[in-house]
Amino acid sequence: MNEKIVWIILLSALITYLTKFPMLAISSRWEVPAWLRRGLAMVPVGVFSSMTIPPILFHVRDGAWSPEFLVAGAVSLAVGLWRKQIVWALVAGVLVTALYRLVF
Amino acid sequence: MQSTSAMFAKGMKDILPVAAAGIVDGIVFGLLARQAGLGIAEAMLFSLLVTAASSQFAAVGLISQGIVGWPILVSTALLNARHLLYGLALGPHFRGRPLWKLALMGTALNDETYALKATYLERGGNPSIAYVVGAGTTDYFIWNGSTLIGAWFGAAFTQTETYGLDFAFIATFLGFLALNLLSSFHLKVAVCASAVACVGYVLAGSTAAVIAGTLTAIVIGAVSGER
Repeated sequence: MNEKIVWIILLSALITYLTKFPMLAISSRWEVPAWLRRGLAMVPVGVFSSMTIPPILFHVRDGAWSPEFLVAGAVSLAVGLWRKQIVWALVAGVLVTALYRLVF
Repeated sequence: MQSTSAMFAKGMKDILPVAAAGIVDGIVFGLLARQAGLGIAEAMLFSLLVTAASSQFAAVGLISQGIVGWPILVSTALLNARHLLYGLALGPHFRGRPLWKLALMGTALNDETYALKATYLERGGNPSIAYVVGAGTTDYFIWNGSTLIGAWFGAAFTQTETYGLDFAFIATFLGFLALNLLSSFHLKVAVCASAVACVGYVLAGSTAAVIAGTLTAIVIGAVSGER
């Protein structure tokens, strides 16, 4: 096994646990300020949109901009909003990408 | 009040429909990990130790681009920062419980167990740590079992682009995004975060995009009175 990757996994595991336990412990003992609560409430929307929108809008295939991820992304997000299940967004996005490549 | 073992068993059972939906995600994670050049053992180590789907997907995405280092840790921290929120929401229900029990509950806290527990509390269920840990146990076995299946057969897939699997990361995160667009305010935040992320992406790449976009969302949330 690649030693560097094992270290990355161990550190990732530690970081992940630090996002889980300390805040649970703190909020079981003390009141957390409202502004922090509101800020943290926007973390998921912020992370997930910044991980998806840029690579979709700036998708390059064979050296040129390609709309394939834009098409697949629109369908995937729509299916996600409709079915409220991550797995359906995944299946829809992958299927549309495969179909798009079959056609174009 | 039911016994601890009864609550543990109830948690294990109640999570099943939610956790079962994650089987495909686990298989795809295993596949993509192998495609990124990881061995079965490394793919399994991710699921056994990190046990957080979205950050594992992001890490493997970076590894497939040859990035093995701090960008993985940054994306792991940012993606998993949403657990802070779950802790924040659940903590007040567990006032005065011993810290070691909360530490145990912390290991079981994830998207699925949080969603289940929050729904359970809303319906008037009693705040049981055993319930969350039971749910987390089932989830853990399903996530690791499906990762193993994907990793096992992962090397057999060679033409991932033909099957559209290179879009699997983004599609998974779009699913997460869809679940989090809870109001028009969330939508506005998503649009602002995306715009800033695009600038970061063009200027400095995907890690900068995620940092800039997430910070934008946090600031908007913190300064705004709206919910």
